[in-house]
Amino acid sequence: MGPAAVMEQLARVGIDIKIIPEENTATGIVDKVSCIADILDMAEADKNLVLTKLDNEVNDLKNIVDENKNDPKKVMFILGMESGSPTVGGIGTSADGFIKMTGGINVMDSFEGWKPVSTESIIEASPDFIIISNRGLSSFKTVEKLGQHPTLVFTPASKENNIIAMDGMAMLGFGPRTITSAKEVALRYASDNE
Amino acid sequence: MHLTMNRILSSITLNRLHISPSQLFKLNFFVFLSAFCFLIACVNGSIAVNLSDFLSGEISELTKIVLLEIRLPRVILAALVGASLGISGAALQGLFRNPLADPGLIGVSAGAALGATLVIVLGSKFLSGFMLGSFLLPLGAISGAMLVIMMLYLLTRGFGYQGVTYMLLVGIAVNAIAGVGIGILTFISTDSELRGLTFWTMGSFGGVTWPLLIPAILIILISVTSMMTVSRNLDLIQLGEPEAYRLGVDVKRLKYKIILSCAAAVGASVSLSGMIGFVGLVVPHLVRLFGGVNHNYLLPGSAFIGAALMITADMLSRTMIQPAELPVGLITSAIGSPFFLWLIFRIKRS
Repeated sequence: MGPAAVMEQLARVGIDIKIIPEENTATGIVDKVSCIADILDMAEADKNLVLTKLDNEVNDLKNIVDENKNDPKKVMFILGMESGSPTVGGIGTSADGFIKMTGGINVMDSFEGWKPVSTESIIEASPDFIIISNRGLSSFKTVEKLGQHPTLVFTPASKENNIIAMDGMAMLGFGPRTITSAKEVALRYASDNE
Repeated sequence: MHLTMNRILSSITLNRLHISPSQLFKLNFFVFLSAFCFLIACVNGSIAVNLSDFLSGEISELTKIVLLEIRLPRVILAALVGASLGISGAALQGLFRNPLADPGLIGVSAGAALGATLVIVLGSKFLSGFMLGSFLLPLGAISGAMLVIMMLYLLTRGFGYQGVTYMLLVGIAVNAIAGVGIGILTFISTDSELRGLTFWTMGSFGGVTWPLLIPAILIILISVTSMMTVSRNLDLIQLGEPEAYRLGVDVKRLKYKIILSCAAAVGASVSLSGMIGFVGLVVPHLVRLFGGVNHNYLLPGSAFIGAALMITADMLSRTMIQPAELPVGLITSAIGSPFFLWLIFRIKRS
């Protein structure tokens, strides 16, 4: 949501503002879509068509997550490496929601928001998987090179080559694409178990 | 040849004479203090390390890696950065005869920061094919620092025919220019770059490795040693530049030496750890409060107290809110800025 002062200014000009509740879960995404359908006054049949398609996607994801249930992976989401220490997603972040959607455990669950963490804490947390956005990866080019970074090289994720890079918005935007991305990541967990 | 030998010998004997036994004792205490901080910092961290276990070899492979590959280079870097900022501050305060001088003052820190932000923001856009990776950031910072030195040199026509005040004013202008550059870059940076930038400008010792550290060790040691050799001349220049000149001090050479060494030491430090404020200002004053203003005592004292202070600040930064890290520049500024105010009031009163 935008800054409160701007929202107030827009409202004062007489622009109709609808605030869509943000919840970083699969149901949150479905709620968002149906909320927008209502605002746009879509026909009930069209709305149901879209929602059924989304529900199928969510169910697909749930099935994969359920299959992985016995061996939940420890996951860390990195926003960027530019500060020397990696900036990672703690609780309450969209990354935390995304990790939970994939059925993983966020290893950085002792602080809120995005924060830089020390190399030692990363080694202690020993994530099985590391997820990073394509933009965060850009200065490293490949996930293999990122894995060689001194702060990550001693993690199981780097040793097992379990670093995943994807489009940031497709993961953290919490629109329909997030479900697809979560499925992709959950399938990576599954292939690691085999 | 004979003459230079004589000069060196006499300067050594002179140097020896200009430190009192009690100051020598205090210097020894400072060495002990920084060594103590070093040890404490090595055993504290997310992963517990028992020193006696380490010495007896009963230590897991993982703990060994953490200690030798991660914690040790980090503590050494903190010590080096603290030492170079401390001694640079002391030397600059002596050279400018200005108790408020600081490496940041002549714009070197800001120049280095500008170079680094350029790499962070533009690097991913235009240099994606570049192979340098994590070496790019220090490289950018050192180039930025060098650029500022060259600019200062041109603007002051060889470091100050127009006197010290002029140079300080140019330094303020250079700082402002670098600030504008950083501001523009902040504006055009993306969300993830911006976060990296904020934490980087607040300073951090994370992500340092031996290959990155060794060139910095060399640069910093060389520049610190070069500053130590002119400590007696710094004492003499307190009388005023013409007076020092009449006493046989090559004032211009002294300026070159101090400014270049400070720039190299600070540039190398900033490139690896980001901008860390107020250490260069606070440390020399602390050392003076302990026991004297002669530079044979002040310069090494500032190096060791700077190292001890920075090691402690970094230890707090990585242990206070585990697993997250507090930017170390935040800690030093929190201690340093009230001290700065107190200093200004004290100077005003006298």
